[in-house]
Amino acid sequence: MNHSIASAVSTPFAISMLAFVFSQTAYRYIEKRYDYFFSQCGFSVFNAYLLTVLSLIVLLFIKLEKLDDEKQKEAFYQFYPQFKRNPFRFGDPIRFFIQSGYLSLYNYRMRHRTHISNKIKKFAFNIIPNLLKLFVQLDSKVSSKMRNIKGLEDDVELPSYFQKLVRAQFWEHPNIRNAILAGVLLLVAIFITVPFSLEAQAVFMGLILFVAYSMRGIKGRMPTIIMITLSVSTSSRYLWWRYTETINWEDPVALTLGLGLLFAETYAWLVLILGFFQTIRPLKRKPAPLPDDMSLWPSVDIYIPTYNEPLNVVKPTTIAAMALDWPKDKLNIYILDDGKRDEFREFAEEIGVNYMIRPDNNHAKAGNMNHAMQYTHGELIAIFDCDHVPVRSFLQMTVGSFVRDRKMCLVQTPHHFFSADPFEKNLGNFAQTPNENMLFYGLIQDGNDMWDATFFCGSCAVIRRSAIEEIGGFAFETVTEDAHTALRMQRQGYRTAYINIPQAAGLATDSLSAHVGQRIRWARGMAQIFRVDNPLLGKGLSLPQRLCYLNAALHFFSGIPRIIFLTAPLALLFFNAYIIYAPFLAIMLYVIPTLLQVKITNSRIQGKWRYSFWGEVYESVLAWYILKPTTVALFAPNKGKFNVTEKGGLTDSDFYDWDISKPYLFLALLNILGLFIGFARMMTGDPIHIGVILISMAWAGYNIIILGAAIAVAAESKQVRKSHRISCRFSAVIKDLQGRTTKVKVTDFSDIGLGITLPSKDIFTTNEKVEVIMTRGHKQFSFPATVINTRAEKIGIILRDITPEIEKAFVECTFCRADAWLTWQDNFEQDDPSRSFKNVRKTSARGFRNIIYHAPPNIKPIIQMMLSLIAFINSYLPKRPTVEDNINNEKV
Amino acid sequence: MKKVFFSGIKGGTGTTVTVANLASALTQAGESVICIDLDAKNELRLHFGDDWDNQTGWLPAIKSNASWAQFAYTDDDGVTFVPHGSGLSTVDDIELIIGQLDSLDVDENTWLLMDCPSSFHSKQFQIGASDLRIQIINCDPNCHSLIYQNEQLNRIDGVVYQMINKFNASAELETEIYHLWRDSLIFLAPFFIHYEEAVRASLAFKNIAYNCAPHSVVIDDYIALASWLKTKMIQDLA
Repeated sequence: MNHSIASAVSTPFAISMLAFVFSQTAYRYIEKRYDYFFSQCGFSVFNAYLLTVLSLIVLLFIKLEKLDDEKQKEAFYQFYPQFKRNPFRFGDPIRFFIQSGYLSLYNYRMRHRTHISNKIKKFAFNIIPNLLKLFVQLDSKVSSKMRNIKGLEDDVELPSYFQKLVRAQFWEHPNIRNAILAGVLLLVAIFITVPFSLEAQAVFMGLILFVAYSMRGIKGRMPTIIMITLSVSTSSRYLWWRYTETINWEDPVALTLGLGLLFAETYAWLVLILGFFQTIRPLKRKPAPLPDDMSLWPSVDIYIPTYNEPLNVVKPTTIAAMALDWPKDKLNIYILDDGKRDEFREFAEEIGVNYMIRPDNNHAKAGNMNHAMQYTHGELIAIFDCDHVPVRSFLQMTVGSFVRDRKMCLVQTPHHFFSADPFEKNLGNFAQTPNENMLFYGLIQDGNDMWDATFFCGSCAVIRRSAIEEIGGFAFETVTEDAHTALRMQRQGYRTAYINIPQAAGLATDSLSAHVGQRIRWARGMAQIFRVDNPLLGKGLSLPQRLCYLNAALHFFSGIPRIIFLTAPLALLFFNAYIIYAPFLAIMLYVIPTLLQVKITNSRIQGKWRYSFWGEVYESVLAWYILKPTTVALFAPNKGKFNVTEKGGLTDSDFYDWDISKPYLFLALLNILGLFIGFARMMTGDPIHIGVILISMAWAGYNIIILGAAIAVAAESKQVRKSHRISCRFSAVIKDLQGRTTKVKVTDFSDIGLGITLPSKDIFTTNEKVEVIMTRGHKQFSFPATVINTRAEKIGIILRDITPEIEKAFVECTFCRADAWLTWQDNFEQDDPSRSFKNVRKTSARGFRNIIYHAPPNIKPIIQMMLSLIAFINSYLPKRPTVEDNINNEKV
Repeated sequence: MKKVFFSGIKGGTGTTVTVANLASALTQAGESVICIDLDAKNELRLHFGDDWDNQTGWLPAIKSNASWAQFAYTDDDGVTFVPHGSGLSTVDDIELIIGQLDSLDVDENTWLLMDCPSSFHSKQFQIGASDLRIQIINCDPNCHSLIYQNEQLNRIDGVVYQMINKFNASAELETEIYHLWRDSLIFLAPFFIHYEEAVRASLAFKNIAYNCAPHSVVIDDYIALASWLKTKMIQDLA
């Protein structure tokens, strides 16, 4: 009773009166409802009263005591997810009826069916693997039986008959090989060109996809090669079909646009085939061991070319170069300063490395190194861009190949970046999704190495002086002097190698515009190489080498085709131009299965280094910007100068790079407009067209998603720390002033500080002076430091009383650890296309939200209004019950 | 029985404290350990929390012809130790007790850790080929000269391992001496025990750093020492 008296104060009299009519539980319910509408939802007294009375109707259907039951509530919300945690809105009754109507039609048994269909799927896709297994078992059983019959010993080591057949000598005979090759090619040609009826095409693609899906789960090279074969044949078939059957000669607009698309598709096909060729067998070369006799180790010059980078970027690199594990009398370090700065000269003198400048600055980096080569004499030259810090084992890992092979001219190691590149930074997926670089350094370079076509990347590499001298110094005709130099050496019959172990790490470019600038330079450089010294022509290269270079260059010409793909569906939507002149069903049967097949195959080959759909995002960001420079360079190779990639800066504030996102915004708007037109045409136009319009709209929708992700990249996020924090994990010891020591884990480091995890809380206080003891090999180093922040077990410390010796030792203990970057590549799981697409979609949504967030203030209200309108309509749409998930979860 | 003889190259190198902590490290690793204090300073017992007034030990026992094994105590960590007892032991006394070790009624896997005085010269005693001898040294010029004097005077016979105690990485001289030794001493243990204030301070609690400073780096060092001894024993047996 006390309770009702107390609450009577805030409850209107009219409600209190109800206490006489209703039971006590019912009254408490009414009171609660009223309080909910009045206090929580903020309705007026009258409205709250009215709604309370209305809600009494509910009591006619539902037992009162069930209402407070949490379980029942959960069950309700599972079927009516739109009401969860929402305060009451006036439209709720309507929503309730819509959802109820939907639920009455909703198929509850669906989840059972999906369960069964999963089982069927699993069974079906295991048919081929199981058959293979069965065959292998059968083969070995029959073999052992036969052996028993013949009275031979059943030795496990003996090959089975099938293995014998496979390994037989006669396969190696050139005539037989050529005959087989010719036969295969003939079969492929027939296979690609033979026309199929739609039914046959459906069966054919169904079979191929079935095989591809079945192969997905099997490990090893063989399934990969089978999948590649299937992809090559289906995509070739597709292209053949496009060329022979789908060109609309009647309509000039459709013909022009259609040929454009066909060009883009041919490009994509070529890149696909070349990509398969390039990566069919990554070499994964192991470092060659050095001879035990140290007098046989070659002498090495280290070049650190710099132009305008600040000293604090060059310092760690120089120190790390000095700490390389190599006989000191065979190691000479040169800072090649094109900036001609006294500060650098002093630094070089202080720590004892050579400092070199030249009278002019001709030919940029290549000229700088050519100048240095006149004055140095090491047999080998290791090159580090001034921001790539090598680990101590760099030369141990790379030089062995030179000693073993006299014709080895280049050993390249990956460029590893310890800071987030603009993609990673703006998307917030640093170290979660493989970055743009990883595909190249993780897979493509290993593939190139197989064909002896390793790409020289200008840094983190060792080259042989005599080879450079033979080609007349570093090539300076193009803006990518590195690739061109390697190409020339390869023409002279020198061999190249790639060792995929990160042996140096550096800063990634930190703003999108700088990143785009760098890519423009590479694109322009590759275009120039093709004009100045075309790898397809000229002497000295093998066919695979030429093809690898072709693919590398083609990659940079992706601008035009990408833009075509991003606008192609609009041809039909805007101009009613049938750019793929074929019936709806034929398009469905050719395009979609082929795309699926190629995606599955690529996901298998590249999955560890590039997740599905991200390639499109990266390409789309660059497409517009590399379009012009590549085209210009192709026609006028001598235009354009060397621009230095800016690194290590600070983005002033969280700003939106409108300039850079303009092209994508424009394209996205076009596609959105296309969607609207598509809707309109579906409503009003001839029903025959609905199929193709739907396909075009789906395509436009996909483009919007990709463009949204590209837009998300353009939102630059703030970079707070001037010195980058690099995550790591190694042990260290902290000693306080009294001499007590504590074992700790170092979790990140910068050039002057450490982030540390303590074994327990409250061991150190802020501002406490301590000593950090770190180990490098057998050496222990002690660094005076100050605790600058403490947060439970985590503390941050920075070095104090920094002297050059301390700085040097600190770099040696952090950046130069031989294991510093080794675990990096293992962090990524194999790609899962559907999950990857989900991530792209999420990113895309964020991109569009970003636009709204950064939109000019006068447009903002309009966008906001439209968005809330969409949200409002969406809130009325029926929702799928969340029950299913729970049940699935339980099963898992 | 795995016998290990510890002695400092000079006084104050930290032998006693090392034996006490090592005993705990081995015990924690599941080994059974008996420490015997052969040093007349009779200090080892204090690290195990023994009563200050306790005068008993093996020396008074053999003087009165009693069995000294009854004066073995076990501390809270499960380490058994035999104090030296009051009085000054002679070389003969120590020889006597070393001779009696083999007749002890203990499991063959038991570790016997002997804390020997710095004047201990293994030549004088009958030490089996399978027994380990470890000399505790500090990274300082004093020890450096002693090591080379001993070498010249041929004071050392057979294998005596040397182990660095109280290493201070922030002292440049110590680092240099350490590297010199790493290159020149064949029997130098491949690790060292860091300088740690808590090692000294814990005696104030009649305890050892192993219990008082669980996060200290010396704990790792003692564990390293324990595992090194284990592998050495296995190697020597093989």
